[in-house]
Amino acid sequence: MVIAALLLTLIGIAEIYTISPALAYKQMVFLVVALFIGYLIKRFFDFSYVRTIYTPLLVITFALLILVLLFPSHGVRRWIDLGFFRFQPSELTKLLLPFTFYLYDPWMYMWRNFLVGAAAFFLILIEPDLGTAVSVAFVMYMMFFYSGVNIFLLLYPLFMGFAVLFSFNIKLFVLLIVVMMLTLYRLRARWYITVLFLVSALFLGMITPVIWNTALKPYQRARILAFLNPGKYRKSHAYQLYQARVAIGRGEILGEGWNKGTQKKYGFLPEAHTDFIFSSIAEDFGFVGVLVVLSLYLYILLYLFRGIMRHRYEDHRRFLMGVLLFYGYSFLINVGMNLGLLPTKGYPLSFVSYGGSHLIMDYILLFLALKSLEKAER
Amino acid sequence: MREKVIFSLFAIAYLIFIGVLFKMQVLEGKKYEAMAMDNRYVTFPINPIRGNIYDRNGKLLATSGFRGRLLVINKRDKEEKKYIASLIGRYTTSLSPRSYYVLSAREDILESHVVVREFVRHYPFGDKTPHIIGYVDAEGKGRAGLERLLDSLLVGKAGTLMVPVDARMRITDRNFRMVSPSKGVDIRTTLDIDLHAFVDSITSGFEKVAVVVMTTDGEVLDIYSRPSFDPNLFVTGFTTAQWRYVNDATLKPLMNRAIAGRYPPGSTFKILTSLAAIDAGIPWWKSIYCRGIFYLGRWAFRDWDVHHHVGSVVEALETSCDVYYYELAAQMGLVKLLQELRKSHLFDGKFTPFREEIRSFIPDTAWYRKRYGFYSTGNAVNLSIGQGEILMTPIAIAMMTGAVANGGRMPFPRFYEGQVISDTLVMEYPDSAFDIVKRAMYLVVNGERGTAKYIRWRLEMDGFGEVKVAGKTGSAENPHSHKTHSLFTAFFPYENPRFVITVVVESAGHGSEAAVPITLEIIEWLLRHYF
Repeated sequence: MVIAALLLTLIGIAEIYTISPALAYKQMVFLVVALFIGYLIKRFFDFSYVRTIYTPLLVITFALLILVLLFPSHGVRRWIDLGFFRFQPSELTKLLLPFTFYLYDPWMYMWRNFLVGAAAFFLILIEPDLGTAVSVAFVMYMMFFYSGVNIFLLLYPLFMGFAVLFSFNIKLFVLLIVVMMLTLYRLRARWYITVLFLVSALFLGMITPVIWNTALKPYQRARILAFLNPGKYRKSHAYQLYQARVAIGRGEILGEGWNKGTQKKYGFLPEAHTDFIFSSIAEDFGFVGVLVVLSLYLYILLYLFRGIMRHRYEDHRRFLMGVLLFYGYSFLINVGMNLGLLPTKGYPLSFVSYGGSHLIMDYILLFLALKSLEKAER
Repeated sequence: MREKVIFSLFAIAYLIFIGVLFKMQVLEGKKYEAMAMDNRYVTFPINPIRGNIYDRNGKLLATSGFRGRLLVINKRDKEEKKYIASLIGRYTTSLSPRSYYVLSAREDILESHVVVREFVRHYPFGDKTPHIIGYVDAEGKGRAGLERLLDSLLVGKAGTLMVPVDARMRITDRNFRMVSPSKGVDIRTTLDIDLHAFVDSITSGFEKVAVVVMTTDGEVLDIYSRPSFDPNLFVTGFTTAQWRYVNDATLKPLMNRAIAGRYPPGSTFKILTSLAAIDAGIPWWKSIYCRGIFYLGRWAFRDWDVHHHVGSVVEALETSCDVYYYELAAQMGLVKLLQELRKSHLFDGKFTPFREEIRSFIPDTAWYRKRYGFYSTGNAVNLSIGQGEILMTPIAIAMMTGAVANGGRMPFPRFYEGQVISDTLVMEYPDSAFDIVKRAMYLVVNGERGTAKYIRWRLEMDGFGEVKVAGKTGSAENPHSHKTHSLFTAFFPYENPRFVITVVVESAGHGSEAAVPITLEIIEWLLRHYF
């Protein structure tokens, strides 16, 4: 698994080098730091320390999250500037949440988990960093699902979200209601639960168009619309999406060759070293290269999944699932965004994208997972 | 169980991603490749060099002048605009040759502009360029005359220049991709620019003139129209005064009067009336006594002169006796006259391939009925001397003259080498009619009472006494002026016709006053250069 991750990072560094050699060197330094920390974890860490460090971690994380809100750096309330590198406190949630799952079973300590997650979610959301905020929400949601929380509690926000989305199209909305009722019937919901679902959905369906037209700012609307209709906004909001698609498509089977892709070399592809590095790889190395990257990812996910399946301790399983969900989210969202299947949220591709905070954090999680898997055998 | 659900979520995403990537990269890769090239290169069309137009002696009538052009890659580069302005005085994309050299020497340091050579139409003869050459607009598209007619030949094939740029529209390197344009075809016309210049010099005293000079084979030596304009202005641009001039409603400098000016043919039309009357079997040999006025019922038709004894149609044409033609027309009646006139095919259509040409007009009985409610012999009487509703272009009058010279076959005009003439029109009159009319036209110049005796007199004086010219004068009354249009149409030499000349001078009096001397000068010029 470490080798797969290293391969991904090296591909990433090779790709970053074509855009900016200086950034590639920095990324190498980050990798060395990350591996060093990984070595320390492997050598000295034990999961019995988690309970000790949890409270300080919790306090530090939220303190930093509030700190970035109060002291913006470069006009964006996302980083803490440490001179040689900018630290992103929201990355700490990647550590905090799996530890929370490890210590507190979401099924048993539902509210505690929920509060930690929700607090992190909102603090990150108002930075604003939608991609990371949604990652927290996604991981929390899946984790609740994993730990077997009441299914209606999980279905309720899901259906309400769809009710908001579909409220603009009466056919889709009706379909949603039908699917919802069938699902509730299948799950043998009590009558008051059914009524609650129905009333809420109808209420949201009516109120959303009103809010859309009055409360949302124009740029917010534009961003959502650009996602829905990329071709129309070629030079404006969907520019990134469009250029990413062009870069991916022109890679064809074998790619343009390393350092030959013109899309990123001449700046057509924005954020080619961070969020859109996948497109950049696709342009240079083609379908074959992309297949390798995706398969390495699937391998890491599979490795973690198999670890979960055969791990003997319930708490370790929850921790590993937290790690898997963070990696999986990155894979899902970043690649989906590059392909234009999901909106441009701005979320890095784990191990590959340029960025010190997330690279180091990804490796910390990786080595923690390895450490956890040492006691795996059931 | 639940972990399997979660993992399969990612596994399904993996499969979807692979599927989408396969579609985009393997199946549609070429499409995106083109889109990427579209990003990478800014493509400019490169105009080809337009074909030259020569006269019959190889003199350039229309050629291409050299100029520079700035291709703007990035409009928003204010710095570079200022830099360019500092080099050449003011920022403009159309460069004079000097500015071109100044900028192309510094081309390597320009980031947002590319300097290219460009060729624009140039007419060396300026406003002495014949109207039928036409002109091109600022985009280099043929807009009139031969330029429009042969645009597809002249224009050549455009090339393209692809300039590699980065996302901020800066030129990244000098590896331009170029598809060279190919030059248009050169056209050699039948025109004689020296003759044109000569006609221009001798007509300088008149305001509006149309001249057609062609061979009896149909080769057009000159089509002259005054006032003229400078076609170069359509390329370089007009000043307000120049624009007002070319659009002047009465002068109409843009109009080619020789093919688009319609005039009452006046007495020159008597050529056709004579042919019609002879063909209709009207006794053309009868003599009359002309008192200068002709009565038809209660209407009186005046002659321009009192001709006393007029022996036959030959003498009538020689002296241009209106009363004789009134008689002929009265005997034929309108229906018969129109029917006979149609046999000339002069009013069937156009003679030249130019869109500018306007058809000559002859009314028919239906037209008369619509216009006046009735028609009568009076219309025929009026028509017989080329007055009334009939309108002819100078080229049509030249066709009429050429047909008489050729014994019926019209000399369809040719303007350039390789022009395909599909039509051959022959006037359907008996040969004897042409012989009679030819003889009469000979007498117009050479007879005792001829209206164009001046020509014979001058030819003899200038030492061309052996050359015999035949022609017909015309004085067309018109609503624009109290003075008549002065017309003369001629062919020569009489025995073996080679040239047809038609001259129309607007509002200049009788035929013999303006058109005849101009024709004489042209004849003498032709005698000096073509015999």
